[in-house]
Amino acid sequence: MSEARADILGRVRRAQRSKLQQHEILEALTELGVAPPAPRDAEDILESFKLRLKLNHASLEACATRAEAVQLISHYVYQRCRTRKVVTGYDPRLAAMPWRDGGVLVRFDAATAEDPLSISYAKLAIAESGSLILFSNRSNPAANNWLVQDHIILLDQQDLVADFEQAWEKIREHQIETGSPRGISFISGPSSTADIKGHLVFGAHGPQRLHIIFIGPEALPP
Amino acid sequence: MKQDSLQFLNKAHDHMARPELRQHMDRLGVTLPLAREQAIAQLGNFEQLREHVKNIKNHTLENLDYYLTRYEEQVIQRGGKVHWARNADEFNGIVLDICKKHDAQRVGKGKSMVTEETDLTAHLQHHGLEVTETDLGEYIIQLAEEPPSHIVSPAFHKSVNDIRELFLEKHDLGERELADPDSLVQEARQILRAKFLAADVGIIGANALIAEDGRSMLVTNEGNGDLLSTLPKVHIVCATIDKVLPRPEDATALLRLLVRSATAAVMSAYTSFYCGPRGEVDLDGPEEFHVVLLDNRRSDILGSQYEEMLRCMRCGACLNHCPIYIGAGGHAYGWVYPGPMGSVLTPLLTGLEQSHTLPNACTACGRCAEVCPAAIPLPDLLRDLRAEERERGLSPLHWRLGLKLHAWLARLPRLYQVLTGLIVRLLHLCGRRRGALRSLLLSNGWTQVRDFPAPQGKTFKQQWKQRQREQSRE
Repeated sequence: MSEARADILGRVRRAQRSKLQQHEILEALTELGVAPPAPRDAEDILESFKLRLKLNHASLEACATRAEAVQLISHYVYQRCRTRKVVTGYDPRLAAMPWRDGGVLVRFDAATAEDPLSISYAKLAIAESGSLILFSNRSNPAANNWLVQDHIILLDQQDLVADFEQAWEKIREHQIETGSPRGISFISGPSSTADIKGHLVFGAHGPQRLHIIFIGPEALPP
Repeated sequence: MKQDSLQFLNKAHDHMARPELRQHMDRLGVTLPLAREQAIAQLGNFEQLREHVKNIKNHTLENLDYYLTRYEEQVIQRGGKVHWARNADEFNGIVLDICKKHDAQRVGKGKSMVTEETDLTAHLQHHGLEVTETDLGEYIIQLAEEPPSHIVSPAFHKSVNDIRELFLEKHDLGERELADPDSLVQEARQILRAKFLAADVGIIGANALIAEDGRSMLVTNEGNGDLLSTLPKVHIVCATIDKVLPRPEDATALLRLLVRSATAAVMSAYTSFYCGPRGEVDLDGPEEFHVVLLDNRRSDILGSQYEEMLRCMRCGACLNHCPIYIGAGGHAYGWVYPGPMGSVLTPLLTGLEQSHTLPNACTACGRCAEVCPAAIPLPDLLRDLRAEERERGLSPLHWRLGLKLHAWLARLPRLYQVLTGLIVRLLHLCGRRRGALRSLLLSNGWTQVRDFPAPQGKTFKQQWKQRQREQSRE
């Protein structure tokens, strides 16, 4: 280990006020608990999530089944990009979808700069902030989130949670089941910048549009 | 970055003499605070959340060696490397070595105040590397060869037309309009996209380091940091030792305060948690992952009377709420960190000798402490630094003599009252006709640009006594 490391840690040890043992530190941390509950825009988490998405400048469509989702995607892709070609990762949920029924040609790969549009399947979503959680791994290469102009994210109703704290609990469960991904991203809108005199402009470096397809019976408008 | 903090008064004066800059700053100082106030009100439990995050941060700082080593273990376990740097030179050397090891020629950089602190870009460029800032604001000031004026919006001092002219001059793309922010952003996207794809090394900052899982939290709206974490074959995270937090929940609790305080939004477009290189089955990601941790006198701040400053999350709220920052502009502070947080941090990181002007850039109005999401008592820390400045004899002699005189007089209340009574009467008589004075002995600096309102004839104490007498008679 380097001299700088020993030096810095030595100085930190001499300066810091507590001299607790590991188990005492962890007890003290547990005692501090987690943050007070976050506010929600609406009582119902689905309503709250929808409202947040809107405020985050993302668009939303809803359907009851994955087969219907294929139809929605087919329509969106053609309307936006005049193409039938999309790129997705090796997410088993995406692999099992009836793409041919919608005339969508899927390439399972990491996106390149030539791909106009990609599709991801969210692990989870958070009502508090209108965020979609994606793991960067084989099922969803990180490039698919940021290299394209249009990003479509599918979400199952059962994967919507209320706040950050619930999300981390679920993320821990997912990591135990499927391993720990290189990246965990909370995506909450299209790429944007306000660096030019405070004007909000979309598509700074990443997607110009973020489109969410919500799959679940309750998602349908009354 | 070359430091120029002792020129604060001159630079502030120059800034105030340029009305076009003043206008921009006034917008920053009004629009953003109003929006932030709304975002905080919607949060509903700001005080409670701030107290929680403060407790977590204090707990982490009290046990910093444990959390730093835990973080390091986790990064190593995930196949990453952690480097430690005592100062800017060591820090820049480590990053350069990593770049050299990979024969890197092109480096893409995300927004990172730490690298501003060590002047990393200049160091890498000096050794022949092409370094591109990819955050749009940072890119603009890199083209303009200027330092940032704000820690969140580094190019806020640039008008749309300034940026247009800059792009027309620096981008060799032929004739074009570029009349609005949309077309400017589109052009920057096109230019920078090529840089992302060509970069050999991606360097980003971190908003927090998480001890539990070795991940670093990266908050952006543009997505530039994510592209740099994904496309280049080497990924370097630059952070300081005070950035560590115990659990992911703590990072997102901080996030709730950070985003609202910085931009008045509820959430940034992208919040990512990265650690480690690509796995065997991954389709993308870097081949190598490095974290470089900088101390740069932070271990001196730890355990000192200024320790609370280590809770700072770099949201910029204290800048937007500071009448001095809004008046003087970010460049007047002469180093990386401006505004109230900068006026505390700069003397602590670079020495009071180089920057003792900054703690004086304060009206003690207290707005910074009110809005600070980390509950840092900034005015108190600034006062302590001023006291230190005086004790060490760094302030100008006539300031010190003046203060000494005042302190002597304040301890003799009778004499103080008689003297102030006389002065107030005198000023009242002089300014009786106009109600104001055009010039004032020893205070030319003040009366040059505005009139001094004439006192009403009696001191507060005299008036108070008179009122008490009248009331007892009734």
